[in-house]
Amino acid sequence: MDFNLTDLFMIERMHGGSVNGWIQIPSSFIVMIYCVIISITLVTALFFVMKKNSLLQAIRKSMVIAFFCSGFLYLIYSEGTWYTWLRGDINTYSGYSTEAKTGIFLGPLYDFIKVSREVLKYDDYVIYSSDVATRLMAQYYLLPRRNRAYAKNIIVLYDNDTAYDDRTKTFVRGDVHKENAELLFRYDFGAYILRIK
Amino acid sequence: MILTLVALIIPAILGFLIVSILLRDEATSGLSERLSMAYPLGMGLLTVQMFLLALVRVPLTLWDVAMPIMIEIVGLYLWIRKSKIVLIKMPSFGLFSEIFGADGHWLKKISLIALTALVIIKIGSIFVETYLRPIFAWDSFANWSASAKAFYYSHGLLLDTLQEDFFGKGLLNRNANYPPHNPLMQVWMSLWIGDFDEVLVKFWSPIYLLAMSAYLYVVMARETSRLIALSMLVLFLSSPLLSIHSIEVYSDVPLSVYILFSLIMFLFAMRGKYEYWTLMGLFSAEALFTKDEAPFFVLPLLLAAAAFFWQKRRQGIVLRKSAVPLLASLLLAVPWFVFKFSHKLGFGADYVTVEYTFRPEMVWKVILLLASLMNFNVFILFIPILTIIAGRPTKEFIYLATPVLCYAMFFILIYTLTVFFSGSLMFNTAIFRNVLTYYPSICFLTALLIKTIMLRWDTPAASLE
Repeated sequence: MDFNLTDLFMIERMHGGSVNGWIQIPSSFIVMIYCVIISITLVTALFFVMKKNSLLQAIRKSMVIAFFCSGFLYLIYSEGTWYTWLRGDINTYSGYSTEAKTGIFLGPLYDFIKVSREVLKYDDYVIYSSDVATRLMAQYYLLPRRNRAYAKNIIVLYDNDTAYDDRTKTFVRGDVHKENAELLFRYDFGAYILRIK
Repeated sequence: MILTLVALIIPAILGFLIVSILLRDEATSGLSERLSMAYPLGMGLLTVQMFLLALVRVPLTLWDVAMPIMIEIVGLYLWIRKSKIVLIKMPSFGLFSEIFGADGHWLKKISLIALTALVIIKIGSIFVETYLRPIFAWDSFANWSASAKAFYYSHGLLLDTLQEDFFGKGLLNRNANYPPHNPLMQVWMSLWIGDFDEVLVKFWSPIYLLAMSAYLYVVMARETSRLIALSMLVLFLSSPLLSIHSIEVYSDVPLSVYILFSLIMFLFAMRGKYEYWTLMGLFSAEALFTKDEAPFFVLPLLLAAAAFFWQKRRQGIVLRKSAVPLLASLLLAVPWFVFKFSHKLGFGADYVTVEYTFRPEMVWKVILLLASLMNFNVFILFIPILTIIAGRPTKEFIYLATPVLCYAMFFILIYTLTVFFSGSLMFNTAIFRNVLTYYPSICFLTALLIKTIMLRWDTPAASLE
């Protein structure tokens, strides 16, 4: 744990701007919870000892009280973040169809995928992209069409190693050299679909 | 949306009928308990059935999948009618009686109302969030939804394709080793919806949370009090990781439900209610069909049950009514393991390498992460403290805590002893997700500890044994 005592009284929100982000609780909040647990345990234990309880009984009671108090403090903090995320998602996604929601989530890539589905029909394809996540995401949304090394359709999504010459209809990627590559759709300079005749 | 509801209700009806038959002679369980058990039980049986149909090459179409289920529902209902089994017991509405009854302090009543509202709002928000978002997590796509889509569009489990495509191998980063409960639930939803809908296929996930929360509340309320049970449920639901997993098509929440339910069934079975041995076996088998980690919980659980039988051997425990139904219901998981081993599918992700090391420092890293209160409120921090201050544990608690502890230790061992898990993995993510699968059980054990502590507040420990 990386404690930062300077911001102990400046509790930040839970890290992870939305549900998409990974959850991280700032050290200031963790320190605060521990302080609450220790102080509640000590104060209530003292109270119960003064009320003529044995030390063991006093500790038992104080620990149960500390559990619930710190738990509710955590709840206020974490649910605050959860409902902030929920409000954000209501503003972003509410009122749209599944297709539109997917488009909002995925951004421009989804426009490309929608056209790709129409262009490919139910044919398989081979996809090239320098970014692994983009490639896999495109593969997912193109299912049941499959990515096959021998497919006649070629999808290029911002791949640094490919070149396509419009005039000669030649596609080159490393050792792969294909003639008669007809351009079926071009989204922009780096994103396009070819079919080998 | 109506068809989504139909897809969710059918397994719940199937499960409810089976629970009603199994608990026909059991008078203490109420309607809410039976309803909470119904959905996870029915959904597990449904996917196992879909798996078996696919193995014998019956196409996974709506007609072929739904028709046997409908016949089973009708058959079970007729059996219930013929045997004069009480199907719908009168609900008790104990919580409402306590809130609106004449006796009881006003502060307690207000607290109960506030806590109930918090639970309803939280679970409601999870349903809303599930409806707002399409599938969004990368590992949901890769591990579960890609195969679900492929199975749905091919009307099968891709068993008669090229070797490279067998059982969805090679689909994105799919791990063909994983049990198919999750993808088959998505297939079932899609069959009813009529398409693979990126939002609606997820709706089984919050229902698992709802069923688990309801059951956890009922059992904790019975063990402690309604006020404590509701307070603990509210704290339990505040886990950010649990919330996120409940709106997404991950398998950790279903597994956590099956682990918790197996444990609670074990508790009731130990208390002499023989009917629960069968349910314990069924939930354990469904856990085995949900995730590859499950054997490391189910095996210690069975060992704990064996130890219980051994300890009670002189008290005339009827093995025919306990061990036999437990083992017989575990057979539900056998087809999956036969398939898994006959096709040389391993355990865990395909990319996991088995190379051993010894890194004891990982234990400290795990402790620090768990002490960071990152995802599970203060439960993980308090359970060892409460265990110590509770004094000598009851035998019941030892039997219940041992399988959970063994399961937790299994993860510690693989983090410490394997190169892959101690190095190459996204360590924090893995730890928190693994803990999530036994987090509900930790909550349940905490409730039992609080019960013990409260009983011992003013009573000498010896008198409780």
